[in-house]
Amino acid sequence: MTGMRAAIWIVLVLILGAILNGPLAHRMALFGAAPDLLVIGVACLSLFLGRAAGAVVGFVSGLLMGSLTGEFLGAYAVSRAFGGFVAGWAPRFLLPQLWITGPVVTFLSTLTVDLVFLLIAPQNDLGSWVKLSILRSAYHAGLCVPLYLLLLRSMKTAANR
Amino acid sequence: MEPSGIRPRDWIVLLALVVLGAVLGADRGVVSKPLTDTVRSVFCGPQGIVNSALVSTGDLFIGIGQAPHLRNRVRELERDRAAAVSQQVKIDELDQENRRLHALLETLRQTPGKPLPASVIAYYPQTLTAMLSVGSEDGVRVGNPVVAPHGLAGIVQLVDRNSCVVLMVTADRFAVGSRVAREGSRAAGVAKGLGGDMLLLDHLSEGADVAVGDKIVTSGVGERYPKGLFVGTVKQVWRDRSYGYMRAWVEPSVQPDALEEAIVLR
Repeated sequence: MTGMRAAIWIVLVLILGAILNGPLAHRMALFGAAPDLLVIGVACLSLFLGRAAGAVVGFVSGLLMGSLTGEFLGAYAVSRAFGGFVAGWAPRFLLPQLWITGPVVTFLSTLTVDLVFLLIAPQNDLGSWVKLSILRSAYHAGLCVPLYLLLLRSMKTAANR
Repeated sequence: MEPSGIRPRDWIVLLALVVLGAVLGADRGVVSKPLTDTVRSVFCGPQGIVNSALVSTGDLFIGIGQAPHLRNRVRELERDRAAAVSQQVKIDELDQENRRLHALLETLRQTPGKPLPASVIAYYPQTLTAMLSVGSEDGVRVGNPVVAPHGLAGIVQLVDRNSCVVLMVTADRFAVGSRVAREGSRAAGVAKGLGGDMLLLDHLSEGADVAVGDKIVTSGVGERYPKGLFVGTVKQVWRDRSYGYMRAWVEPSVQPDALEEAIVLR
């Protein structure tokens, strides 16, 4: 995904993710795991953008998140940069055309984001954090499907022209 | 799938981002403050709008999400309500019983002789008789008058060891000497049961002073019934031309089917 179409998707996903994340995400909590819509957006976008662009998008999303929460600006930015990087790496091993690729990559990307965040900003209750992280990753994998299918369709439309 | 291989550019970009992130994390807001302030000011408005929309529709989604829980809660509340209604019915019943027993106690205090309180065990509307919980072992004899808090209820017809059968005032075999309990009138007659709801006050002398609303009490004639027991209230008076004397319909003071406690006068 390149050019104007990519730029539109990036702006749209980041802005919508930033707007909806605060008011909506905590209302969607499942078993204590609230989703992070920006991470889902970064994972899905990065699949089509590649490693470097995915890392940049992840970094920007981290800046947005850190700015909105007022905390861990650097930790958010770096951890999501890694998340985007990992997601952008996935097409080397997985076919983006398959619908299952999105959930799998989002799961791994979220785990990466959480792991890097944990390394930068250690948590007191490691057991709960790990459990919550796995739960959140699985939740993200489920939630990413609509966005991933939309992006996939957009890709196919662009390729057919 | 993309061809495998490591492009240094990607790693350089990542490294640059890590360094930038580290700088932003280390500067404690000095450099990043304008950025974070701007981001917050830009997104604050739209987030507020989204939040308001979510709050206003939140109850709907919460309701949908909690539907099974709410359904169970409604069932619990319905059960609680049914139990509360049942309790209230019991309380009302106990309250009524309490009032009846108070009235009975008062009647006991005012009743001459040796009054014996009893419960109605059974009532037979076909024969207009009732079975009481006292019998010969309690000193009950055939012919003992039975009264209720409101007045005369009947007369003991049969006696067993632990129970007795009372012929109620409205039964067609029942008759009691009665008179008008009004100052200025000494009109006397016989109150008879006819098997219906009313008593017939018969054998009143021609020109007897009886009026609708008069209270009728036992006259004491015959010594079976004590004098002054309330029998009923006159509802209609007429002159029977065939026999040449007055007659009256009397509403009995005691409704046989409503009797639950009674006093046997021994």
